[in-house]
Amino acid sequence: MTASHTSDCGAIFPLLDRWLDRELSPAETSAVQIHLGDCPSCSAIVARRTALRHRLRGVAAAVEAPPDLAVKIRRQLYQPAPSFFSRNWLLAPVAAALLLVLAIGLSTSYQRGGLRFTEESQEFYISSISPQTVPVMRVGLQQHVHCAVFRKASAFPSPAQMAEWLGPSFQKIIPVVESHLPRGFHVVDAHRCTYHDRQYVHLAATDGKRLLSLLITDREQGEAFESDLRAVAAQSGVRLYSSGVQRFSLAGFETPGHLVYLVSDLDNSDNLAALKVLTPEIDSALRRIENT
Amino acid sequence: MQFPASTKGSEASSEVARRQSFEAEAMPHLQDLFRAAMRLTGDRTRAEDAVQEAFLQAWKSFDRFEAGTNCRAWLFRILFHCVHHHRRKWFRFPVLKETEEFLEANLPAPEPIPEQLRDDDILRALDQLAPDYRAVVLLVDVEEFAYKEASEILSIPIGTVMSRLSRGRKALREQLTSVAAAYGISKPTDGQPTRRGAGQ
Repeated sequence: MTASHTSDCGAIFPLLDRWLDRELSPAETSAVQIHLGDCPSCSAIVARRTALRHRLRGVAAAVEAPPDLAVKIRRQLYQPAPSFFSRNWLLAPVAAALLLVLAIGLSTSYQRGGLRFTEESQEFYISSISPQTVPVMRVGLQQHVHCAVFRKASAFPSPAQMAEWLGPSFQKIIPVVESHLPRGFHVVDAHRCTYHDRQYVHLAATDGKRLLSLLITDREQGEAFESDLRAVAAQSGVRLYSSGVQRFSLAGFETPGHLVYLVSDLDNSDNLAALKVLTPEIDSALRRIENT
Repeated sequence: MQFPASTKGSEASSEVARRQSFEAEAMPHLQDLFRAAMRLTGDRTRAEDAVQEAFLQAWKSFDRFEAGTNCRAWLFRILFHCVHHHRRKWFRFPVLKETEEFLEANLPAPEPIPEQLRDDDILRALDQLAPDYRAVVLLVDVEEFAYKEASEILSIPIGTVMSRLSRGRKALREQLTSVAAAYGISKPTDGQPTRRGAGQ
């Protein structure tokens, strides 16, 4: 019988994996089963491959999704993103009227006609451009587009109102940013807001034609520019990163506790230069906040 | 414009029914999708990103999902589509060419002894497979999809699933045999492992 084992093994061996996968025809399954009952070496191979699959399945199954992932997904699916005006319900009718006026005044398009002022198309636009940059940069891009581009208001808040919205920790940043902005730009809005469950400190500036956002958000576990991008410059020992999506230029840096973004309609190099100027002051302000 | 109350009521109940159906059919597969996304992307943040994107796409197209068909396979198909979309950025290494030369070069496949290997050795070996091979090994060996389901998820012919699976498993076994060899575990002729070196 040893001679027949050897001759059968050549034909049966290539079928062993498909037999384990239950993907053979009934005739082939039967042939393999008969052979295995009579061939210790093929049976040993089957035993090892079965054991390896069990180990593989076991170790892969040990990876668990973060507990809050289901919550994040449900919020994303079932709840509309909170708007700039949702922090004060009294502003909701104003927002609706403002959006209507903007919609009529500017037709249904923004700039090149690509962006329409409906919640669904805004989200669609944001989700369509987001994959064009790395995840850590999307955090800044999405908030700029969602809040500064789509939610831009014609009546801007007073400096006192902006300071109140930012609170004692961050209100000192407003004059710092104002004095270091590119020529012609002025801070026109500063507030705290939430987008897709993430809190931001948002300073928006304009020179009358172009928009610029300085965004600060808490750095979540595992988030780092370095993991997806190479630093393109450094300022006062702080590494700066840059990216671009369509007309939006993105630059950012991180502190131990925060991610900072400058997103604008400027050229990439001008946007990066603008962040370079702001970096020393913003970096030290955030580190002071983090150390208190 | 005011809609009749009955119309609004029916729209609301239809939305509730859609949510309930999605919760019952799709959400229970979250862990499976995250587990696969982790192996495909090699990074928790990217995996979360891919899974969130997959569920968002699934929710948007849930009306096109046929009740009673395999929702898990449908979700995996969406997940692979999302990951594939980001693939050029995420995977820095080139995909191996499926040439006959490659197949011939890998014909003699050793059989590692699973008991002698650590969990992280096994995961690392899986993660080091070329993406196309890793995808089929993941779907068939870990997620226990049939060849036909894997071919539909990956949008490739069944024959390609089988050849990639064969090559991926061989590469995995070779990788694990190398790991075992590095530990000083040899493959004896009697089929039982022995350890070489001091103290063994």
